[in-house]
Amino acid sequence: MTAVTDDVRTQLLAAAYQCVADRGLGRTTVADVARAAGVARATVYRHFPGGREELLAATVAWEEVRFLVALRDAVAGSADLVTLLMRGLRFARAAVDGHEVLQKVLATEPDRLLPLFSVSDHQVRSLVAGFLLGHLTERPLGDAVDPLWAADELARLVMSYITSPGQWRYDDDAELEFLVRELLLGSLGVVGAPASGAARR
Amino acid sequence: MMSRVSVTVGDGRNASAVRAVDHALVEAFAVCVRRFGVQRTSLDDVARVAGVSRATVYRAFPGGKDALVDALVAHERGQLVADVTEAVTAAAGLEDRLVAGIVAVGRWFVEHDVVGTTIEHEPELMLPYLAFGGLDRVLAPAAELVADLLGDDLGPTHRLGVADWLCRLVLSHLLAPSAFVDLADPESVRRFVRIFILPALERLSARSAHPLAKEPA
Repeated sequence: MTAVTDDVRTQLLAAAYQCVADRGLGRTTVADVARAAGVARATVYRHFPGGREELLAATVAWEEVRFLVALRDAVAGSADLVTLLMRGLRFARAAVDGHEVLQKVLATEPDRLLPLFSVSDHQVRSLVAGFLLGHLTERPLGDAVDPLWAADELARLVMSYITSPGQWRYDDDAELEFLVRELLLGSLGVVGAPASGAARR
Repeated sequence: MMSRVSVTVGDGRNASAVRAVDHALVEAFAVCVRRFGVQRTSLDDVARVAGVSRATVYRAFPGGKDALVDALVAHERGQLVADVTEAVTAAAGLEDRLVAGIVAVGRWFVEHDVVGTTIEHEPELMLPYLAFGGLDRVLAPAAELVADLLGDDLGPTHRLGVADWLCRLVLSHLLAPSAFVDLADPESVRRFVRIFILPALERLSARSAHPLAKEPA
């Protein structure tokens, strides 16, 4: 009997991800994943008692975390929070646009995919907020600003712009800097000098 | 989504009578959606709740349930736009206008529970409009409304982008409430506005419009 372990769990998630890549969410079954991972179906159910739905939600969350790890690596060594966020948004936008499995599932089965994102939304936001909290508290935030709240608001915005870019051109330094300095950080008192050429109207 | 509520052109009397029937049917559809959800609501259910024949429903909405959905969305959205516009234009000063507008959204979401219950019970119907490319399509008209209502207070450049940022903040809290802010509570919203919105807008107002600054496409 295959024991319940982290290694097996990861193996199952990787197998599930591959099944989704090959045949989509709708046609990925527990049996498919078990076969791909070389384990019995019972093993899958032991790790994911909620069955197919739990497995698929966990697979989405697993890939999200892998994405966040890559994002963290991409911004490592940034000199300041503005640079970190600019690099992060640019990297993340390119990664989302270039993510073949995500784009395929969004194009063919968005109604199956998006509810799965919601399952882990809160935890993923906590991860992002936790990461940003460390960088936010390097500078004085302004008296009224609760750092935990600030990190949560910033995480919300970051996740929003990563997934839904709007009209911004992320490869245009001036636009990206405006977005980061004025909108993401404008209320957080993090940014040093005010915008150049400021003139009172 | 464009409303496909049909208004038959005829003499004024007929046109307004047709609109009244359409409105009653949309209301009946809303009642059904609240009870059973969109997918399990049939046109028979709508007819029964409205007290009309199924033929009447089909005549008013030849596009069937899809057309009813479009009409309900247009109706709900129209209500939201009206509530927000009324609240913002009745208030004076940027802080009060922001608070009034955001509370109007928060209260609308609580009171117009068709949207809330659909998100909760049939997320697969709503989420394509609230994530990834779908979100951008919802944000665009919302940002235009906010840009119209707040105008110069959004700063001299990237006005639609600033309005879009405000909409993202509010929408994020609607869909994933936090412990930090209750969008339906004026005092909570006022704290939120003072800490997370006004300082950014004040910085933007202090900028001069750079002659080479480009508006986003």
